[in-house]
Amino acid sequence: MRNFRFLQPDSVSTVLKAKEEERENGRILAGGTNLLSYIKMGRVKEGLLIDITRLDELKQIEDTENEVSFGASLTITELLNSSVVQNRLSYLHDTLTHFANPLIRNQATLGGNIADGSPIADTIPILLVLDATVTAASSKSERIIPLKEFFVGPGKTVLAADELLVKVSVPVHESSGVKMIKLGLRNGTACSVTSAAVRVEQDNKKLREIRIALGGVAPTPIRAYNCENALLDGLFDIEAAAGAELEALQQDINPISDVRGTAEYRRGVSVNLVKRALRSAAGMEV
Amino acid sequence: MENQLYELTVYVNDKAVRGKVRAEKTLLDFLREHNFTEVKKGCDNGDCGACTVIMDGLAALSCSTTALQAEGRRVYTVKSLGSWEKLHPLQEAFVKHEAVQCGFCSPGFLMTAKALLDNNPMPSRNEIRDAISGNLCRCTGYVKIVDAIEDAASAIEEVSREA
Repeated sequence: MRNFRFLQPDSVSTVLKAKEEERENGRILAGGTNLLSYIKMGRVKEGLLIDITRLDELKQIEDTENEVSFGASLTITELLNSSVVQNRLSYLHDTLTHFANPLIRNQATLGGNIADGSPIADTIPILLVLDATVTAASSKSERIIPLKEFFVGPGKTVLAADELLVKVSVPVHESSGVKMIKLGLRNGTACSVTSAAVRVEQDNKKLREIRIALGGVAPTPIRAYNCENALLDGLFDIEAAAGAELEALQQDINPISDVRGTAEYRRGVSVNLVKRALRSAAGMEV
Repeated sequence: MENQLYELTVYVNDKAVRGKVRAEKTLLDFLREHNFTEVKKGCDNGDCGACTVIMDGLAALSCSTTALQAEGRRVYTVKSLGSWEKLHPLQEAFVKHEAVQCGFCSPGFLMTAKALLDNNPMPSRNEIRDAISGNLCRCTGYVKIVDAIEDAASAIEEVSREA
């Protein structure tokens, strides 16, 4: 039997107080595209629904020289309409145009997409290659968590029971090339089978820095550290990197077979997606 | 323990609709229980777009919104568009282009299209295709729906130019 209560908080501190009292039972309700689904499935049966959609505090965009910070309850549509995203983080804008579909984008929030902890969340791989951090607040303190340390397992994150994800901060890498590619079974409203993002820093055609992240190939979204290191160690030339076979990637990923694809298919397609994203990020023909 | 009920007022098609709901009641169920059965319940999971309404100027999935999140807000259903006597240009175009077969998806498509044209009066075919990508139709196959929305945009543009 379902048993829910509802809270329309007037401030973030009210939310944090409620989270302190309710712990796991304090269910943050923003876009509703995940939580209401879980309630209807019976996965979530009780608790206090805390509606954070009316809190302006969680809808701010701070644009500083080195980094852009987003309030956690900004919707994907609000991000797409933001001139800061369009101008300073155009690669993030490109990625968000592939997020679910326009109806979902009107409701789904950046914080929700992250805090849900899905291995195939549409925003994560690109945020990982950008070295994004999230700010978690409780009634007692606030802490900044690198996104690469945020995910623990499917649907599991390091957020404590009394914490709220309040902010997502994205460093601006002016000289980097960035590309994320999402592979779904169709274009609209598709869950991704596998997704990959790459960020490259190059200097006269030499690879100086590389970040590779993937979704849908492990229990959490991952950084492909082995593959990054192999490329940096062996292939300083950007052309060579883009033509590499990327064997080391297989050590980074641990895909499963499901309704959208087999583990074997994901192993193969991961290589192709990373190659394509890498070429695109490096400004080469894909 | 008794489930707690909460009072709310939602302004639906410019009329105040009052009720008492459970915390997790969706806006979709609230609307249908208050006789706005033109809002269709398809997948009830955010996948099909049949339940689309316009809330605060944006197309919204009423199945993925709680009624209490709509408290005090303006919500428009397909019945706000036109009447039998005077159809909205979008409705006229859907009829003219036979963009309706069984009709179950039409209220959602029409509201998504209305929100699109309100924000972008002359969209390209690609923009139309992208805008309706969250609405499913299992009868017509989308081409006629895209034709209809494109035609309605021109018709609305023409009327506003004459005015």
